[in-house]
Parts: sequence; structure tokens; C-alpha cells
Amino acid sequence: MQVIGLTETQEDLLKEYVNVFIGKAANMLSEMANQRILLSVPEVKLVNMAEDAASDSVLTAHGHVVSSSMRFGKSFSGRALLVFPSKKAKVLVDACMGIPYAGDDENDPQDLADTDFDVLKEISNVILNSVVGDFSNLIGTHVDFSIPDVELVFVSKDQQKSYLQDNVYMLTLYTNFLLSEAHVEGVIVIALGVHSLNLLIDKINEILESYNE
Amino acid sequence: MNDFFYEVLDKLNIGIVLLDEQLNVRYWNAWMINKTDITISKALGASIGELSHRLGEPKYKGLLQGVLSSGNSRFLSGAIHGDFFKVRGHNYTDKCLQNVQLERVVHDNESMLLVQVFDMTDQYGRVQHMKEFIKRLTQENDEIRQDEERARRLAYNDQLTGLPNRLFFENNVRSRLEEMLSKGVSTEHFAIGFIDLDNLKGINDQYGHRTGDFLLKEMALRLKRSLKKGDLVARLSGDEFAVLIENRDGTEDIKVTLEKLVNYFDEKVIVDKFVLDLTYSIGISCFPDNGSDLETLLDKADKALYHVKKNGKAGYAFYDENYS
Repeated sequence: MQVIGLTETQEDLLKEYVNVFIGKAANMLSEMANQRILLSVPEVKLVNMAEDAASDSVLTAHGHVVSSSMRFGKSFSGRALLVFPSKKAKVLVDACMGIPYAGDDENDPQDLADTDFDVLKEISNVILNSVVGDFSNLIGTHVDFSIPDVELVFVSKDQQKSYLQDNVYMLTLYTNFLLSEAHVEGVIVIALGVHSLNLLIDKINEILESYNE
Repeated sequence: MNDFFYEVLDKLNIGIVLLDEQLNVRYWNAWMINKTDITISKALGASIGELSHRLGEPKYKGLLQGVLSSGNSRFLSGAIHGDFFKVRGHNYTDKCLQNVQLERVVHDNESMLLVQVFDMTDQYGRVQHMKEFIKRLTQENDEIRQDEERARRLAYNDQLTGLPNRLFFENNVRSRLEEMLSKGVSTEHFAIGFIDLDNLKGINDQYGHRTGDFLLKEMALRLKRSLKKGDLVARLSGDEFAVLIENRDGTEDIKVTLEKLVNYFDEKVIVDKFVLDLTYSIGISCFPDNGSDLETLLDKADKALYHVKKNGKAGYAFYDENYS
């Protein structure tokens, strides 16, 4: 099987676009939480889990993670996920609910109540809608998607590599949430099949060529 | 849509509302009627803003229109937004929470907005009660631990000087002895020092008990400062103190500590304008040379102490067979 990769220029362009996409989500989240929330994506990577399972991201971290995921698409299809370490997820939920920041160490995965999962569902809904919707607009196709499912997952050391492995390519967007008192890091993953990935790469190349003309 | 589907929607245990593109109600299911007390005749054709205090706000109207135009579903959590529809008979001193899910549906080329309403009030209430219960348990547990710690401190500490008391000292020395004897280690040594503050009775008689207490506290400080990590000092009673000095480099190590203690004799103590001497007498016994149980070691240290006192006080002596 031929392994698809992204050049540095392609990654840079994607990063630029993704930061615009996520900016809209940040505005919506800020309005929702009644406080300024800044979102940025400092790094975009295309990861083939079968080839590259050695990265040290949230994805390959072990322990409790909160994962929101939704399937999307028709011609451009895949699965979108927003993944946080559970302690960070609680910080984000508290910030959105106006609960004062108690420090990361105060939080325990067991502290996440059902209502917290609802808040995470809404946060994921806003972010993933924004990113996936804008990706589909970029490619010029319409995608269908639903409300994400949120779950608390314990990823053991042995499972680090197999988590999400059934998806071949993952566009990994390392995401920073800057809240008034805390800083939360998460990862947005757009898992794509080869066909959808090629659609995206073709579009990126088309944009790059138009710059060069 | 046919009546059968409306009947099905009426059976659901969630609120279902259908809105047209102008955000007017096209369907309002039985759950909504029961919860809100808004009849179907009043709901049908009404603007959603007239029926929902929340969804009538410009921010939410924009959101509803966004879902209609983009087709991107939205989820709104009650934990953040509170309630969307006023519930009949709800006591509003308690929070009322509803999750709402917004989705675009298309029927005969007409886009409509499906609003699903989930009442989370009971669940939220249960979670809140559980959180409060856990918080209360945690507080009680903390209080119990603090009480235990306080009781432990009281049981093992001398109130005046803050030093460990006789009970703590004896338990500690016994456990060290047991450990050393069980290992059969003959190379490890330590010294037990019996210490008396010289002339406490005279000071109490002449200057009062407050001055005597001050001297005892000062003596405790000097003892603590002279000892190394691993050594132990305790106030046994009245003017009696005891030390355990670990022997790291032969008996010389013990002598270094004793010299430190004695060197303090040059430092006078000022209490209420009186300049007083603070001296003490120290009797030393060594494990294992002078004994291998606490009673013997204390007894021999006491004999050495007696020897110092008999010979002018303000000094130290190691136990000698001749003192018996």
C-alpha cells in the first residue's frame, strides 16, 4: 500500500485554514461560556497509525481520556474526534460553567458527572461542526453529520497503539484552549479514508498552485 | 406526515417540536403539552419565541436559523443554558435543566427544524445531591483525621516544650532496639542521654515558675539544635529530658554532639531583665556496651547523671562500672 504524506507547505496551508475554522468555533464557545476562549492549532500532522504510532500526543498517551466522536460524510467521509486527557476536560467544563479554576490536580476522572459529559458534548459539537463543516466547504462538498458521542476511555499502555488504529489516516490537529485562568490542550482528529484524504490533498494542491500562478 | 407517526411521537418520553423556516411551531408533542401546559392549539403556528423564553433570544434564534441553513446539528446542554421551556409546577427555587438537540429535517422539499427536549432536572438534582454528599463525607473524613492527628500529638507531645514526651521516647527507643536486635547487628551503636536542668527548683523558688518554664523551653531549643537528623530528644518530666544520639562514626560522634550541648553553657539567658545561667547535667549509656534493653540503658544513664551531679553538675559523663 502506498503511504500518503503531506509536505511542509501542504501542512502549513492546512494549519492556516484550520486556524480560521477553529476561530469561528472559539467565538461560539466564548459566547456559550460567557468568557473569552481562544483556540489555536499550532501543529497539524497527517498520521498513519499503522506506520507511526510512536508520537507522544494525547492520542498515544495512556490513562483516562475523554473522547467525543462523530461520523460524517458522503463523498468526503470519515470520523471526527476531539480528545482530552480527562483532567483537562474537567477544567474546560468548569470554565464553561463559570466554576472557578481549582487547579489540575484537584480533578479526578471520577469527578466527571453526567452533566459534565453534556457540556463536553456541546463543546465537541461546536468545534467538530465548525472544523468538519468548513473542511467540506473547502472541498466543495456537503457532508452529513450528527451530534458527537462522548465517552470516558481508559487507554492502557498496551492499547496506546491500537487506539483508533482501524482508521488508516488521521489528520491530527493539536489544539490549545486558552481560558482566562487555565490552559487546556486537546487533539482534534479527522480520520479519513484514502479517497477522502486524496480529495483534501487535491484541493490543497489546487490552492497552492493558484498561489504560484 | 400521517397520523401514525404523530401518534408515535406523542408516545415518546422526550419533548418533540417541529419548526418551519420562519421558526413557527408545526408540531408540539404530548410530552411538551404535559410538561409546559401549553396546549397544541396554542402552540401550533406560534413563534418559538412566544413559547420558549430562551429560544426567543436573538442569540438562540440565530442558532436555530444556523442549523436550518447549514444542516449542522447542534446540542445545547442544560448544564450551561439552564431550561428552554418553563415546566408546569416546577419549583423554580431549584434549577430546571433541559438538554436540547437541534436537527434539520426535510419533508417534501421543505426544511424544518426538529427540536428534541430532554428534561435533565431530576438527573441534575441527583448528581448535585451526590456531589454534596461526597463533599460532606470528605469534610467529615478530614475532620476525623485532624482530630486523630490532634489526639496523637497530645498523646505523644509535651505541651510546654513541644518536644516528644516520655511515652513517645520509650516507644521509639524500644522499636529501634527490637529492630537492631532482630537484625543481630552488633556494629550499630547509639547512646541514651539522661539530662537534668541544673537547679530548676532554685530558679522556680527565686524567680517564679514562669521563669523556670522559660528556661525549660530554651533548653529544649538547645537540645534540638544540637542533635542531628535521626537523633531524638524528649522531655520525660519536670526538669528531666532524654536524648538518643545515633552513633555514626564511633563514640567520637556522640562526643561531638555532647560538646555542642555543653558549649551552650556560655550563653546566658535573659528573662525579665534577669541574666541567668542555663546549664544541665548529662549521663550517657551506650547500646550495646551498657545494655540491650531500655530500662537498663536508662538506669545506667541515670547513674552516670548522678555522678555528674555529685561532681559539680554542668557537664556530662559516660557510664562506668564504678558508678554502680
